[in-house]
Amino acid sequence: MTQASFIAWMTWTILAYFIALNLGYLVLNLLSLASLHRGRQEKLLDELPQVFTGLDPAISILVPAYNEEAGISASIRSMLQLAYSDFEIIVINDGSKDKTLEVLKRAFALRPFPEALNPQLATQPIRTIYRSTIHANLRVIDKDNGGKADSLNAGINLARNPLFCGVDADSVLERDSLQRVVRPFLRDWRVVATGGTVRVANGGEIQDGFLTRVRLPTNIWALFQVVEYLRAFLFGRLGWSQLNAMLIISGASVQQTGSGTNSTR
Amino acid sequence: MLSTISDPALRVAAVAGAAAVALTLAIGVLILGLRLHARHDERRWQDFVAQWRPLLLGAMLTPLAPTLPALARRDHGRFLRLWTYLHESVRGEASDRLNRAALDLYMDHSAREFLRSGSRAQQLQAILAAGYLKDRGAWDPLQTMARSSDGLVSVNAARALIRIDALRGAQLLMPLILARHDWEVTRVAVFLADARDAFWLLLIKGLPTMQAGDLPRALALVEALRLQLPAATLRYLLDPAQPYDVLCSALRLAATPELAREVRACLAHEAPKVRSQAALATARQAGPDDVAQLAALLEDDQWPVRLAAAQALASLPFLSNAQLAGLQRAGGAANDVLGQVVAEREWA
Repeated sequence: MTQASFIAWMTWTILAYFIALNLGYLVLNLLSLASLHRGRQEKLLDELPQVFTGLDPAISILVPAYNEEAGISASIRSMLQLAYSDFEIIVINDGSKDKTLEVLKRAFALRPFPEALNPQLATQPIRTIYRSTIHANLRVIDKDNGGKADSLNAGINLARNPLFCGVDADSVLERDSLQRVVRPFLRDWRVVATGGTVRVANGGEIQDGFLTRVRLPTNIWALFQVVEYLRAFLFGRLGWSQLNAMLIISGASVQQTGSGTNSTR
Repeated sequence: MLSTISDPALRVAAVAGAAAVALTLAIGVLILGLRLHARHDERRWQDFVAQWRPLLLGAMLTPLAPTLPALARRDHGRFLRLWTYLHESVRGEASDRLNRAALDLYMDHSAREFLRSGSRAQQLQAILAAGYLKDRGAWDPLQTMARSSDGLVSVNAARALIRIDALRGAQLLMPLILARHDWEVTRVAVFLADARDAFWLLLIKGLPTMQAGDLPRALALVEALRLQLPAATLRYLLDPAQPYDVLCSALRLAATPELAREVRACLAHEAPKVRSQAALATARQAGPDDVAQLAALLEDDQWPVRLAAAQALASLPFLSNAQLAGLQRAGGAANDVLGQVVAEREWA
């Protein structure tokens, strides 16, 4: 191959890649717009007063935390106020080097508890398991550092509910997020995992652990981040979801199979 | 300008680039337009609520027919949205008075029109309205919609049919209720509460001949509606040959001593979930003689079964903490779960 023909070949390849990539984005955008339109039509039902029947499946919220002393207590407090009939929160302190555990102990009056662990998934050694004396649905695992996946696996071993949901310790959930995330499981028995849209909270107003007003950030780089999150999380995931082709599920709620195959690694 | 570019690759790149820029601009304009439209809509909605909410609240409270102002045709959708929201929160007389207000404004006609030729959102609104108004004139279109492949439209149409005529609705919808897995059991259970007795009768008749695939859903509804099945029906459902999810549901429903033999037989079932559920069901009616059988499950090779057995034992009022702790033994597989349930008892 001569140099000229190689350059021509490279030129056409890069051009074809650019066109294919942008056409792909266009298709995903159109698919997600159709999905958003459908969701908007159902807004009427969403805004009606919600009835808690007590029949919805119970959910275990797993919160891996590594060096989160600054915000962990506010995050957990907001999660405790989520509007859902039956859920438990399991915080996994992944060998934090700061005072994450001390903050949790103080804020939620934790006491060591001889909790039995289902040994279905191997994890780093567990040091102690705590229960809150104030909130019956809050437990904390203190374990050696092993990373996020290892923490989630430890949480799965302790979870007692049929569904579990992984949430970052610095995330803010909307109050009705559990009701929404559980719906696909109720409407289709083949669903094994669902996820939510992750958005950038920079610039927004947060009160008592809940986002009360959505605004754009003033920092130019944060603005780019907003666009990137919209592309990746809103349009990307919604579009792929229409094709039943999701490769990654953010903030996933997952159905426990009971066969020890839920490893998040 | 394109004609001045001789390189074909550059020409394609220029066209693709221009198309990308044009599309970006188009999306920008679209977003701006949608945003302006949404703001305008929201303002109109707030104005409408400010005017009509007090009127409808007044209509709910007074036994006399209120004089309501004329409603512009473009506001019919907004009226039904507000009216449905209020309806969802009230019962009895207040609900009847809301209906009277809607009928005075001929909203039943609007709802039927939306049902016939509205957008999907308008149809959903009309389905809810027809149900609340108990509008028999909407029965046929609702019946058609209940068979629609759109899960949300069909389940809400079914709800409206039950509201209009509980018995007839339950008879008509029974096959759909069991077959439509996209209808949430929780949602169906809420609206079937109006037709609880009719559903119970139909279910008792249909259970023995029901297809195996429909049984788990039928039993989930029985649980959700807190219905009691006759012992003979439960005995049939507790047959060890039944699928394990049917057995699990039946074990949760088996609460009478006359089923003790069938429940205890499930303690040795091959499926761990069935053994766990059988342990909990046994505990509900257990006497001191059952402790040994439950304690044997503490040595089960499945951890969830050991936990269920420990929880079952801990729920027995005649077993003291010391007796529970006494079941622990050196190297015992169930020491962890027994330690937990004893601690839970002490914390309670």
